[in-house]
Formats: sequence, C-alpha cells, structure tokens
Amino acid sequence: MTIISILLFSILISFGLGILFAARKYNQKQLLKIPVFIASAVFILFLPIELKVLQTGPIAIISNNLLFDALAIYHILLVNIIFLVTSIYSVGYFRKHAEKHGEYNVSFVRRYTILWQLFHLLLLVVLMSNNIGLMWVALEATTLISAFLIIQPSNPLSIEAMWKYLIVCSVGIAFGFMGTILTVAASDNNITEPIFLFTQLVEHADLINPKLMLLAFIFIVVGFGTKSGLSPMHTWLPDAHSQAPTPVSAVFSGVMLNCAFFGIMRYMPITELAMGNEGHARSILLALGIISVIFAVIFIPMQHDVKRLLAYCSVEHIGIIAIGLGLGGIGTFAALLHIVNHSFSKVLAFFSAGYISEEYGTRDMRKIKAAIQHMPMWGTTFFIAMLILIGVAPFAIFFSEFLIMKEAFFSGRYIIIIFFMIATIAIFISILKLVLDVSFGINSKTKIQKEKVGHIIKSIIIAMFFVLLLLGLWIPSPFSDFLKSATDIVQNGAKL
Amino acid sequence: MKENLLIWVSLAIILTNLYAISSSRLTYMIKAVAAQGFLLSILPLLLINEKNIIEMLILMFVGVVIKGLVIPHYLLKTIKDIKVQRNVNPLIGFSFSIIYALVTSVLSFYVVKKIGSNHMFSSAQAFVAIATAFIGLYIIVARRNVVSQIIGYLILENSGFILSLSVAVSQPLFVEMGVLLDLLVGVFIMTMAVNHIYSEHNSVEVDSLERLTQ
Repeated sequence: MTIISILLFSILISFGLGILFAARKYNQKQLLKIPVFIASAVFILFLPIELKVLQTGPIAIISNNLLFDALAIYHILLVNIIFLVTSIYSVGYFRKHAEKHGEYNVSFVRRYTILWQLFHLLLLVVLMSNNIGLMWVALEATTLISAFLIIQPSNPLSIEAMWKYLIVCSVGIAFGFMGTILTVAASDNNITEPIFLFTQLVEHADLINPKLMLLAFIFIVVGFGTKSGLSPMHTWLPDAHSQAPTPVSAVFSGVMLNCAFFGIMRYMPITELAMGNEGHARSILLALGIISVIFAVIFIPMQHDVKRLLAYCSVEHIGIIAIGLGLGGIGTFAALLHIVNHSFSKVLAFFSAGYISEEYGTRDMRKIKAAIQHMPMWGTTFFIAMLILIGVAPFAIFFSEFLIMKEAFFSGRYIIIIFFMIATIAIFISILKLVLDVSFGINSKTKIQKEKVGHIIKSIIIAMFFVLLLLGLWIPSPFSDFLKSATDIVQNGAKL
Repeated sequence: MKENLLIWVSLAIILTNLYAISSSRLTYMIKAVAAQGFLLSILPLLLINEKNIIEMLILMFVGVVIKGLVIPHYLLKTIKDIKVQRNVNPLIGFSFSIIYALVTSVLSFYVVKKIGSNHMFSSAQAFVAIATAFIGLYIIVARRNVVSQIIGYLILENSGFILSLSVAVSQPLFVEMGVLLDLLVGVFIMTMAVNHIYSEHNSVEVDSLERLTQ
C-alpha cells in the first residue's frame, strides 16, 4: 500500500512541477513541451499500479476513498495514453497554426499549458475516486477548468460555446449532485451508517431503498449524461467541440465523455442490485442510447463544419456505448471495448481534421477538396479514421458494434437489431458522402507540396491504426481477461 | 427549539426565493441570493452533536463567508464593472413568475408528502430544497441575461445543499469543502466568462449568444 501511496504522491508532484514550470518565462515551443514530459511521467508512474491491480485485484487507499480496480485502471490507462498522444500532437499543431496565422500570445499558451495539466489531473481523480462525493467534486471541477481551454483563441463564437458548455454542464452536474445526495439517502436506514463509498454501497445493496435509488439513478444519468453527451442533454457538445482548439476537442471527445460515463457505470450496478436485477437501470440507459443515435442520424447529414460532424459522431458513439450497457451480457463487454475503439479513432480523426482545416483555412467541408492529394499523410489519416468511425470491417469499431448486435440477437430484442442496422447504415452513407468529397474530388488550384510530418507523430498514428486493426481481428487473451474483469465490475459492482 | 429554528429558516429561504424571482433588478437578485446563502449556511447547526461539533462549525463559518459574503460581493463588483443594464429583461412577466413560484411550492409540498413519508427525509428541508430547485431552473431559463443565469445556478446549487441537509447526514468534511471550493471557483470562472462575453459582444443578453445553431 505504501508503494502505491508513494507513486500517487510522485504523480501529484509531477503535476505540481509541470504547473510551476509552465508559470515560468518560456517561449511557446518550450511551454508546449512541458505537458509532453509530464504526461509521459504520469503514464510511466501509473504502470506499476496498473500491473499490481492486474496481479492482485482491487486496491483501495486513503481509508478506501481511492479505489483502483480493473474498470478504473482501464479508464486511467486510456486517459494517460490519449493525453500523452495529444500533448505530442499539440506541439506540431500549434506550430502549424503559427505558420498560418502568426504565433499565439505567450500568456495564452501559458494558461493553456497550466489548464491542460490540471484537466488531466482532475480527470484522473474522477476515475480514482471511490467516494461518491469526491467523484462529484472532481467532475464539476473538470467542467470549470476545461471551460477556459475552449476559448483559446478567444472570439465571439468560442465565447458563446464556452458559456453554453459552462452553464449546461454545471446545471447538469448540479442534478448529479442531487443524485449523489439521494443515493446517500437511499442507503441510509437504521441498520447501517450513511454510506459514501461505492464499494460499501455494493456490499449493502440489499439494504438500499429501491425506489429512492432508482430516483437517484435517474438524477445521476441526467447529470453525468449531460457531461458525457447523451441526447437530449448533448446541446453543448457540438458547439464546444467545434470552437475549441483541436487538441482540446480531441481530449473532450476521446476521454472526457468517457470519464463522465464512468460515473454512470459505477452507479448502474448499485441500482440494479438494489432493485433486484430486474433491468430498470439498464432500460433507462438503453432508451437514452437509442435517442442519442436517433439525434445523430438526424443531425449528421446537415453538418458542413468538419469538427461539428465529429462532435455529432461522438453523440452517436456514446449512444452506442449506452445501448451496449443497456443490453447487458456481452453487450457490456462490447461497450467497454467500444470506448477504447471510439477514443482512438476519434482522436485520430480530430488530429487530421485539425491539420486539414488549418491548411485550408476553413472547417467548412464544402470548401475542402482533394485532401489526400494535397496533404497525403493527414488526408489519408482522416479518410481511414472516418472509415473506422462509421464501422468499416475489419476494424475494431465494426467488431464491437457486431458484438452489441449479437447480444441483442441472443436476448431476442429484434427491434433493436433492426433499429441499429438502419441507424448505422444511414450514418454510414451520410458520413461517407461527406468524407469522399473532402478526401478525393478534384482541386486544380492547390499545388502538391511536400508535407512536413514529424517522425514521432507519424509512428504514433501508425501504432494507433495498428491497435484498431488488431482489436478488430483478434483480441489478445490477457487483454480480453482484463476486459472481462472490468465487465464484471460494471455488471456486479465494485468489490474490495 | 431546533424545530422552530428549522421552520423559520425554511420560511425565510422560501421568501428569498420569491424575492429573487420577482425583483426587476440584478442587484436585488444578488442580495436575495446572499441572504439565502447566509440562511442555509446556519442550517448545519441542526446537525450538531458532540462528535462533529468542530467540523460543523468550520462548515458553517466557511459557508457563511463564501455564500453570504464573497460570492455576492464578487457578483456585485462584476455588474458594476461591466456597467450592465440594471433592469432584468424578463422573457416571461413578473406576475406569471410569482404564480409559478407559488404553484411549484405547492407542488413540491405534495411531492415530498408522497415520497418523503419514510424516515429518511426531514420533510421540511426536502420541501424547501425542491421548491428552490424549481426557482433556480426557472431563473436560468426565463431571465435572458448571463448574470442572472449565474444567480439561477447559485440557487440551484443551494437547493442541493439543503437537500443534503435533509437526509440529516453530512459528507466527510473534505468533500463538503470541495463542494464549496467548486462553487467559489465556478462563480469566479463564470464571472470571468461574463467579462469576456461583454468585451466581445458588448452585451450580456443571452440573445447575443445564439449564433451557433444546429
């Protein structure tokens, strides 16, 4: 236990050092390298904890307020990878931006670097917390910290997006607070003391008042669902994603939505256990998932802004994850797999979309033509990432969507299969149409020039595509065991 | 003694709600929220026992300072700095607002009677909490000004605080402090955002923030 505490302490120290260094007088290039170092340090420092959990099972520290179990470390690993990759990408992206539009103000970049690291730290706190109050506090804090990441640079539209994000998410999270309180109220009976820990809630689930717990879960789903972009509470999402700088959009889509959804995953088994496993909580998620996918089907064909398109695509995928959890069984396994698949492919799509829109000077897809011809590396990345996102075989998203349909088939919910087929095909067609125009087409005006892409970012992109291909073809057995233990936590609750 | 205090404080909180929803000036709304913050910060007195007396006193003190003094002061300073129009342009008239407040209060009373019949809730506080939540949401939706949206958010947050007292338990002190810190940082960041909105749009009306659609 002491080793774990020391590791956590050093992680905290690294963030502190990162923020202190960012406050010093460096230029833009030096400032942007700080998050890369800190993210690598955090990634490495978390590895021993992750290995320990894989070997010996869940670990809880600080009087059980922090918990590391398979589900938590699965998400922590994802957050660390995405932050590391995106920090590396930021360096190049800001350089590209400087070439086209001139350098950012240094104080802007400094604030960006500081907020970026705080955002990373707070997302990790959300994932580590076993205390329902602590999780709420950290989740609200991520909203506040990340709001100012959206307005770099500040212009009327980005400020509008930030305000919507701030108000919609804060009100959403206030509902989440009421859900948290109601959970405590539901667990409060004359037998046990009031409970604040997830593990204890699972342990005493049979004593929890079922009706009040269901009410609490509805508040939690509305509150945390707002932040994770479930329709119809997703209204902030397209605005924030389209206006934020690309690295920020990438982490919003790639990890922040998952972290909010992680909260729902912690509460779901408690509600199910308290209500005698009749599937009420799962049906709520299933319904919201279906609504999200319907919203995506309606809004995706209307999009012209490439980052808005990706944002609605996130609404679709969060909806698919909710459907997977709602179905249960293999569906839960598929939903967890889908989280990683979606994060990886969405981050790649944002990376390439960011570069393409900087190069063309617009995000309007009607004005971007022949991207592959013009920018071979980023154009191809964009094209393949979008193909993966719409579920082309043999990539990983196809596989996880297939698993979800398989579960729906075996549990005899044929209507969901039909719905799912129609919706994914509709999204497939509308996105493919938009993406083909962007990637190919004829553009005589732009001349082919040599594209400078760093070796590190190139190898990262290839590695991420490789992972997406691998997970689509075959899941290595250690990884599938790991996923199965995480699935067990989502279905039966976190235990010590 | 405790019951009496509870009833008077609850009544006073309902009155601050009515005052906030019916006043036509931002400064009055902010003062109503300040009074409300002050009132509900003394509610933890009801939960004091020998074991938690120090924690509760700290919570009460910090609550009064943050909710009753710092936040209202900061909001007043903001609206003074940006020379905001002092009258709130309501989307919905004030007489309707008061009717709304009364109807939702009665509704909350019935909701609490329905679900709060077990021992878990202290009914008076749950009733106040739900009524306050209705008011907070209404102010966010119906007042077309970003500062009043902050006020609505504060009222919504207050209702969560009252609800947490109604289950007659308090979270561990570090969590309660975290909640208050979030609130403080939240208001701080929101007012910074208001300054940004004012400098870019030269207005703090929500209508000027409707360019991003679809």
